[in-house]
Amino acid sequence: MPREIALFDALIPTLLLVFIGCLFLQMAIDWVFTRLGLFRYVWHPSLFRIALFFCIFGGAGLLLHAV
Amino acid sequence: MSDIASSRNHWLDHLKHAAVSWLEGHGQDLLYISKILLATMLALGLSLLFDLSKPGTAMVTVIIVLQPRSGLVLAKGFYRFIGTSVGVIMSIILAASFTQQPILFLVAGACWVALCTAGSTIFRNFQSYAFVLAGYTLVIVGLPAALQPDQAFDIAMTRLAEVMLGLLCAGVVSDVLFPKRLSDVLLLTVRKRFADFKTFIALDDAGASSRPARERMVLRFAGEVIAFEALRTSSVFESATGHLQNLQLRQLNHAFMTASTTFHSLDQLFGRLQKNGKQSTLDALLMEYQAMVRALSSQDRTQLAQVRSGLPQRLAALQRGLAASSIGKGIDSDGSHLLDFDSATELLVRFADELQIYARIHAVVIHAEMHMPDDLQLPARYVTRTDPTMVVTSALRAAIGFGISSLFWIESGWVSGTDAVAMATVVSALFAAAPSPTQVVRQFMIGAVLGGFFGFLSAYYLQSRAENFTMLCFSLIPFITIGAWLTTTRKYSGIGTGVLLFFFSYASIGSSYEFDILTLLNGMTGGLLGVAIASVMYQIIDPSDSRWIKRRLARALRRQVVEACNRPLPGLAGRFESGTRDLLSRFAVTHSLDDQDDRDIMTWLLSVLEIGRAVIQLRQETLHVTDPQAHDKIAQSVRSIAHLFASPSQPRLRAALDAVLAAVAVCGELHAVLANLHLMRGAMLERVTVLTPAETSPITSES
Repeated sequence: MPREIALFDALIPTLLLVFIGCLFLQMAIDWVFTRLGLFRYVWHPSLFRIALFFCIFGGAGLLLHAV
Repeated sequence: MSDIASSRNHWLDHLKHAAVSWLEGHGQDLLYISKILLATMLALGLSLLFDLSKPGTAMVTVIIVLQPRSGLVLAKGFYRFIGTSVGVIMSIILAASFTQQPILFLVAGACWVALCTAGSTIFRNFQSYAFVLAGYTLVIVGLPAALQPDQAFDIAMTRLAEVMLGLLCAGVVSDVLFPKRLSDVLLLTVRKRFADFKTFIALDDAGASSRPARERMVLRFAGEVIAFEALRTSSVFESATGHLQNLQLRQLNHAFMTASTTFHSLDQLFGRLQKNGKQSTLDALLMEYQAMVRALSSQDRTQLAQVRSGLPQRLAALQRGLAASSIGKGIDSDGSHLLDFDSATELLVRFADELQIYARIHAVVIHAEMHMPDDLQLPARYVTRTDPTMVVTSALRAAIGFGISSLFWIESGWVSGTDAVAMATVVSALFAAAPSPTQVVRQFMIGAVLGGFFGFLSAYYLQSRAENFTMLCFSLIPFITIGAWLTTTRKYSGIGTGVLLFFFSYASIGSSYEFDILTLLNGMTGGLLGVAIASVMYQIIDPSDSRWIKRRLARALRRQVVEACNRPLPGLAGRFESGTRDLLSRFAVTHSLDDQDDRDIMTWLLSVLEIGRAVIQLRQETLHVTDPQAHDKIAQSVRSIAHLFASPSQPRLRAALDAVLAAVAVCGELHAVLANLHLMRGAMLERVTVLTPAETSPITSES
C-alpha cells in the first residue's frame, strides 16, 4: 500500500483513511453489542470499547504496513 | 501512656473524618482537575510526537471540550469537529478568492462571522457552539492563510489535525477514567423531579402567604424542563442505548410540562376560590385533589388509575350536593358557584389524566423497559424561540467587533494586529449566547492578563530549564492547575477560562524552546486589545439586560397567545408550551423576582401559560360543538382574546370579557367548553394589572 493517497490532488495519509474506516467498523460492532446486550458482561464498557478499537486499528495498520 | 495513645487515636479519627468530608465535597473537582492535566499532557506529548507546529491549540481544545460529565465531552467534541471543519473549508475558500484584496477579504469575513454568530444565538447548546467555532476558525485559519497563500493548505490542515487530536485525547480520558454517565445523571434528575413535583403538588402549606414562593417554584419547573431538554440532547452521543432512551425521555419531559401547567391553572383556581370566600366549593374540590395526590405517592401503581376512573362519578355526586346546599341557603343566585365547580372539575380530570401519563412514562423510564405502551405515544415536539432582535444585535456586534479590530490592524500595520482581530472575534462569538455576557467578559479579561503573566513565568523561568518531556510537563502543570481550579469554582469560572486560553496561546510551547520577550509582549498586547474591543462592544450592544429587551420579551410572550388563537390546531399545544418556556429560558437563568420589571415578566408568563392553554383546550373542544350559534360565540371570544393580547388596553379587555360572557350564556349545556371559558375569564380578571397597561409599568405598556 502507498503511504499517501491523492484525494482531489491533496495527499492524504492512508492511515487516516484506515482510521476512519475502523471508526465505522467500531460503530457497527458497538451497535451489535448493544443490541445483544453483551456490554452487561463487561466490567468497564468504555475501556472495552477503546481497547477493541486499538485492536482493530492496530491490526489493520500492521496488516497494511507490516513490511 | 495509654492516655496519650488514646488522645492520639482521637486526633487521628478527627483527621480521618475531616479528610473524608473534604473528599466528599471536593472529590469531583479533584478528579476533574486531574483529568484535565492528564488529557492536556497527553495532547502535548502526541502533538510533539507528530511534530505539529502548535501544541497549544490541541491543549486549548482539551480545555474547552472537557467538562465534568463524560457525555457532554463527546457531544461537545462532535459539534466542535463539525464547526471547525466548516470553518476551515470556508477559510480556504475565502483565502483563495480574496488573496489580492484584503478589504474584500475582511468584508466577506465580517459577513461570515455575523452569520455564524446569528446562528449561534438561534440554536441551543452545542449546536450553537458549532456555529461559534465555524465563525472564529475563520480568523484563526483564514487570516494567516490569506497572509501566506502558499501555505494556506498546510495551515488549515495543521489546525484541523490539532483540534482532532485534542478532541480524541479529551474524549478518551474522560470516557475511560472514572466516567460519570450522563444517562445516570438524567435518571437521577428524573427521579428527583418526580419526587419534587409530588411534594410540591401535595400543597401542604397551602395559603395565600406562600403564593410568591409557589410562583417561583413554577418558574423553577419551567427552567428545569429546558435544562433537561439540553441534557437529553447531549445524552444521544453516549452509547447506542442513548437513542432508545431518548425518545422516552422526550415524552417524559413533555408529559411533565403539560402536567405542571395544568397544576398551575388548578392552583390559580383554588386561590381564586379562596379569595372569593367560596370555602365549601374549595373544600369539596380539595378532598378529591388530595385523594389523587395521595394515590400518586403510594407504592401501588394502579391506585392512581382507580382514583381516576371513579373521579367523574364522585365529582357529579359532589356537584349535586353543592347545588342542593347552595339553593337551600339561598345564596349564589347567578350560579357562579357551580360554574367554578365545573371548571375545576374539568381541570381536575385533565390533571388526573396527565398525572397518570406522567407517572406511567416515569415508570417506563426508571425501569428501563424497552417498549412503551402504545397509548402513551405523545406527539412531543420541542420548539425553540429566540427574539429576532437578539439575533440581529449579536450578529451586528460580532461583525462590528471584527471590523473595528481589522481596521485597526490595517491602519496601524502592526504585526500583532492579527492577534487583536482573532481575540476580538473569538471573545465576541464565544460569549454571545451566555446569559449575561458583560460580566463574563470582564472576568475573562482579568483572567487573560493573569494567563499572559503565567505564560511569561513559564516560558522565561521554567521552560528554559526543561531538558526533556517530563520537565516540560512540570513547567506547565502548576499554571494549568490554577486555571482548571478556577474554572471549577462557580464564581470565578470566567477568570479560569481566560487564564487557560491565554496561557496556552502565549506560553510558546513547542518542540524546540524559543522565547522572545518582544513577540510575547506584542502578542499579549494584541490579544488584550482584542478582548478589550470585544468587551466594549458587549457593553455598548448588550441585548440581554436592557429594559427594551424586556419589553420585547413581554411582547413575544403575548404573541404566543395570539398564535394559540390563530394557528392550526395539530401540534399546537406542545408548540405553545415549549415555545413559551424557551422564550424565558435565558431570562430565568439570571433574574430573580426582586426587580419590579422581572416580576412583571413573570406575571406575564403565568397569565400567558394559563390563558393560552385554556384557549387551545377551548378550540379543541369546539371541534365537537355542533350548535352553530355557540360555535359563533366561541369563535368570537377567541378572536377578541387574540385582539386583546395583540395590544392590551382597557376597552379591549372589556370587549374580551363581554365576548366570553356571551359565549358562556350560549353554551349552557356544554360542560367542557363552559369550564374553559370560565377559566379564561377568571384568569383575565386575576391579571387585570398586566392586561390593562398602566403608566407606572414600562414593561407591560405598549410604547
